[in-house]
Amino acid sequence: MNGKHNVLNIRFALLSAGLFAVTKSVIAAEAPEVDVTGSENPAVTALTEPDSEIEIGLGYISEDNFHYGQYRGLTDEGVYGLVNIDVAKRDDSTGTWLTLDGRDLGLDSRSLEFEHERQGNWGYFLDYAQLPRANPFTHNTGLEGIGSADLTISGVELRDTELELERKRLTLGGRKWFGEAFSVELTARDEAKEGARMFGRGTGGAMEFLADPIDQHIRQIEARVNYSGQKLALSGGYYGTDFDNEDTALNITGGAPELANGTGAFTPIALPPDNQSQQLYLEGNYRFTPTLTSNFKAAYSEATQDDAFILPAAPGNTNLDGKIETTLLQVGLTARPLPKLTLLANYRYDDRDDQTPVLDYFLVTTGSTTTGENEPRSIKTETGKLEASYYLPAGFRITAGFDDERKTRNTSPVRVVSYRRETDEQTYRVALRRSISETITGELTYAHSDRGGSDFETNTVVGGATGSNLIAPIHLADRTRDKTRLLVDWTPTEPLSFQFVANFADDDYDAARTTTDIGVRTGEYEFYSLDASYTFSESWEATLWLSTGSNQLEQGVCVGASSAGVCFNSTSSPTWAAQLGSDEESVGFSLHGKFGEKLSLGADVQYSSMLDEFEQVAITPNVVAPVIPDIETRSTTATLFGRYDLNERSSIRVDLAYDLYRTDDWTWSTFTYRDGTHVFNDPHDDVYFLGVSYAYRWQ
Amino acid sequence: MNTHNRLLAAVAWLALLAIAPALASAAEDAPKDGVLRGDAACTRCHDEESDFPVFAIGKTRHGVTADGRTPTCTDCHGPSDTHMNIPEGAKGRPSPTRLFGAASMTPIVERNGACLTCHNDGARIHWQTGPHAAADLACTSCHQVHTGHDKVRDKATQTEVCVTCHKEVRPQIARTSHHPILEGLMSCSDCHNPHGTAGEKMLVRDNVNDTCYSCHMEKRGPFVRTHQPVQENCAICHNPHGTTLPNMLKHRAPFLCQECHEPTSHRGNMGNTAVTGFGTNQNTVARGCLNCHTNIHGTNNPRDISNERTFRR
Repeated sequence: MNGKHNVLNIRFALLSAGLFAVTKSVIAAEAPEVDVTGSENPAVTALTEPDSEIEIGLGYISEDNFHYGQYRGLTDEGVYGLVNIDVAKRDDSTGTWLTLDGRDLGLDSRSLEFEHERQGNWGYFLDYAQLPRANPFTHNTGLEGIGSADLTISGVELRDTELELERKRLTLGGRKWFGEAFSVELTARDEAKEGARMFGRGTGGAMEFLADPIDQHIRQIEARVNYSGQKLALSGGYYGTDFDNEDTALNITGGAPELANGTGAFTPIALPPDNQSQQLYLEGNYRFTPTLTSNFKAAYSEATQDDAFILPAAPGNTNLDGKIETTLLQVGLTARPLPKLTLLANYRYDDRDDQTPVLDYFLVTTGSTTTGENEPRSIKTETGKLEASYYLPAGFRITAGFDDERKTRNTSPVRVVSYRRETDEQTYRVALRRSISETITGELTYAHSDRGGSDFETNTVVGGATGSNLIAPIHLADRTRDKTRLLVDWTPTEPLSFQFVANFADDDYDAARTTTDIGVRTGEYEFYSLDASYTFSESWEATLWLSTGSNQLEQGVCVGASSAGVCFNSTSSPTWAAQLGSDEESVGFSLHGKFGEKLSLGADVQYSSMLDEFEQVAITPNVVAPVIPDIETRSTTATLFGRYDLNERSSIRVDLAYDLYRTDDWTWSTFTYRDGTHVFNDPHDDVYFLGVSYAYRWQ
Repeated sequence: MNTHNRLLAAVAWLALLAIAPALASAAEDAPKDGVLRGDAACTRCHDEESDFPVFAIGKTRHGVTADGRTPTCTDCHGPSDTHMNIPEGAKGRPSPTRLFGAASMTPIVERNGACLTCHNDGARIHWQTGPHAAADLACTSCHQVHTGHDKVRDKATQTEVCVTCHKEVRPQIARTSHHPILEGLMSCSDCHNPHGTAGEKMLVRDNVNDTCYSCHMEKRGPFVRTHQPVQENCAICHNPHGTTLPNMLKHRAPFLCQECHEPTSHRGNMGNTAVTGFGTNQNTVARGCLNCHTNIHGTNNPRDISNERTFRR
């Protein structure tokens, strides 16, 4: 732990102690006015009153690591404070709750939530949470100014640098009920995101390491009015967001001549601009009859972006004046015309209308694949669903459904990527479920989808010549998809249960727009999982699970197609295919129980093995495709805990965790940036965590 | 009233006076409610020693009798007349009218109806047409009602409940590149509303991108130069449940990019880990295509002096 973190931890401990004191004083001020029946019997009180607990201890991390501690704030070897607070008090005479829930208060992943509520009348809360993220790489670099918007590449001595991000989120909220039917809610959140992220700049002659400064705020506010009646429930509200980036341009001094000099220098680099959105919505459900209900939502949103450009723009305007209006309409109906028959219909209309003014931002020459104009993206999505379910004898239920998703998009006449204005995917599915049985439940589902759409637009370049028209992008291409899922839940005897899941999916793409079979061709997915659970006694339970899965994707490409989209299929410009695979095996084991009344024990182990394959196959004769090595990653995480109750109110807890991570990832091993920066991905992570804590409980 | 009737009335009053103390004593001795209104009839059997103890409901919001909306035992479990008064000739004690456990034979629509009587608004307003309702999920498939700690409502333990069905997600969230779900800092319900929504995939906002923007708002734009799939759906390139590649990308460069981009210029180059120097062949080591196209989510730079429009500046 460094000094900065220690200071923050002390501050936070003081804040937590303050809130804890406030909680106690409010509890004292709200002593019950009327004793209630259950509290007359201490034994019943112990079973019915909310529990509170405070836990304090120390933990030790055996070595610097990135895998186990990445999000936990436990990446550095050393000693950490373990503090958890869970206070729940209730005034039974008024139904007033007072809760304080603090977790990992001694770590950078701490959270603290304070809530005060008179149930069914009013309530408010204050929630603070931190979320650290350590970049898993070590950067040996001479880059100066990391964390700021002004970087210098001056060739100073290389040093090891680690990049970190941290989110600090504060949320305030409240709710007031007016009778049983009406309530209003308000939630406001500010999230500060700070640190630095891996970035870079590059061109054909040089590539340099940069760090993207992160000093941003995400603010969200939502206000809702709710109504809940016998037949009608409604929620109407406002949702506003604001993104505020302190750094909108990254300025780089020095570096390779190819990147640093001349009018084409790669500085400044634009960083994400400030932007905002506002939404008004109304949603609800209505019960026409006990067997006919509907739900609906209508929403209108406006997202804007008018942050000042980092450089003067050719049209003379100072910002994009970007505006996107989105209209959402959704309505659903469920009906049970017969006790055994359920019908469902749903329609959704989502119109994202990009109204950003189209301007000519830069001059282009004949043959360019862009016009120089900005390209607003409007997308309209309509989805419909029809479904019928019928109960058969012996607890079976059969469901048949039809889904349709139609997307309409705008496009520019000059494009670098193939495009079609409409896609339409229709899915037919059937499911057989056995939902009610004492020993076996399960389901078998099958779905067949067929995606097509309008003709692809012919890509042209500036001047009107035909551009390259070879590939149908993966999310636009014609595709048939078959998906099958089997789930069986079997309880042969009371303490023993099994669960088996098998998923299969086959994708067949028609991605090639010409006779050359390039683009994504096929995709396959398989997944099997088996869980077994055994309850030895009231106190002991064990679970074992195994899963194995595989993902395969095949796509065709050609090297150096002409600007008119001709694959030469020659030794210098071959046609080739990539066969991408990902195989995964995981095993988990869990054993939890108690020895006697005082000692609780638990063990959880999870092992995962992942193999990523990148096979390249030359289709053009006499060409040998480069071999890209597989990447194998293995991880094992084991946690053990023991808790011994010293008496009714206090206990000692010991936690032991072991994390083993291995990878032969070569992504950074052969690459050095032009400025000398080298990035290391530690292939071995082998770390222990030992924690000892004392807990005190009360009611 | 004739004399005979008057005598009868007097005898009745005297008899009533005689047994009044006994009746009062019986009322005092009657079992008292333990937690919920009118639960005495239930808790006389369902105490902590029984196979189905119920007192722990007192630790929950359902156990707050000062809130007039909270239910009685029979509001949820039904009148259960035969359970409390075993009919003559019955073999054993019949079950309550509505049961909620895994082996319950109560139709799921009836079980859920008991919950929806009150919990029909707010985050549950779209339950009826949601996928979980259509899949015959009972509220109690996920929620535990008779406990002070409902696992699915605790961020640290919620995922254990969700993966009991969504098993394919269990290994994904443990992959190298993942959201902090296993660490207990995020939960499934940060992105999904399992009670159903008006949007796709039961996401908490109206679509995939709006859900992602609630934490990654820097990707929203709109920008001068937009990357079409970024504007359409983040999940075209990313798997938010986890992958083995940085930033939860589905495939590594250049293969991911080649799924959409025309193979003109350098875009159709094969991946190669053995090349040296700097050029477009460095498309799979380091950050791959992003070595140059660094602002891949879009750039608000209005210039195009050195192909900044291709997200390089």
